[in-house]
Amino acid sequence: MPDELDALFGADVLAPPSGFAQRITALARMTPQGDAPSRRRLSWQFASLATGAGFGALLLAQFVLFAFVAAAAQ
Amino acid sequence: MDRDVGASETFNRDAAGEAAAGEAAVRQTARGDHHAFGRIVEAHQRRIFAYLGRMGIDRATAEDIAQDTFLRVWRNAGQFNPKRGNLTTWILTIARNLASTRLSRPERRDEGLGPEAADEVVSDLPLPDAELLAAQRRMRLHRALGRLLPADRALLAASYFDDLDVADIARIEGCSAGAAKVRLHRARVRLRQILENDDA
Repeated sequence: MPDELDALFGADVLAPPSGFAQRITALARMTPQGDAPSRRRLSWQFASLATGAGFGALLLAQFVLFAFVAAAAQ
Repeated sequence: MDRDVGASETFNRDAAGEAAAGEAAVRQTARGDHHAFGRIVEAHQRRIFAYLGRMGIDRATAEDIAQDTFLRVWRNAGQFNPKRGNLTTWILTIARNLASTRLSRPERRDEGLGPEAADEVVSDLPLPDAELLAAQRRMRLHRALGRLLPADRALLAASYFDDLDVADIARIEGCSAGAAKVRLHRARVRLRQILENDDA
């Protein structure tokens, strides 16, 4: 027996209006793509991350050096 | 049997070819190729409208959502990752998220029948029996769908695409295949109950 839901869903109730694809393509011509700003933002993020990591490593090295000198002095 | 195997291999080859063509079109779109983007819209517009229609969304809203969906594809083509699913699944996921957001707005929660479907039913012009029956069926389904959660509507709509398997549907819904099966079963039971209550 055919399922009632299958029968209800069976028919596609909506079809795209004529010229929809052309309209969207025309809109796309006026719409900037998201890649360029996102890449710029990513490189900026990478730069600050690298700077932060560099300072962190420097601090850690200072701490290790200080501990080494303190241990040697004792 | 051999013919079935042959037909299945042909289908797999066609599907693989279609997926490869889709991926190539997205790569070209990511480089700003409008013609490639136009091909993507042409290839997927029917599916997106059918999907939104099956969610019980009216024509005007579906057009808005479909437009936003394709413009997102245009803007974010560079982010498409074929390892996470094919192009169809990616586009349907975008449409699903936009539709769910739209349907979750308080003023749209009661949405059921699209305005043009209501016009079809209450029009003064006499409709042929078959058309009238189809319009009444649509109205009944839309009214019932309006009482389901947006996520359940999306799940049911996706389940009526022959070329989407449970894994694809789960990817669109952002859950496991097992969870998608259970949710789909529950949504069908809930919808059937609503339809039966409407009839009573």
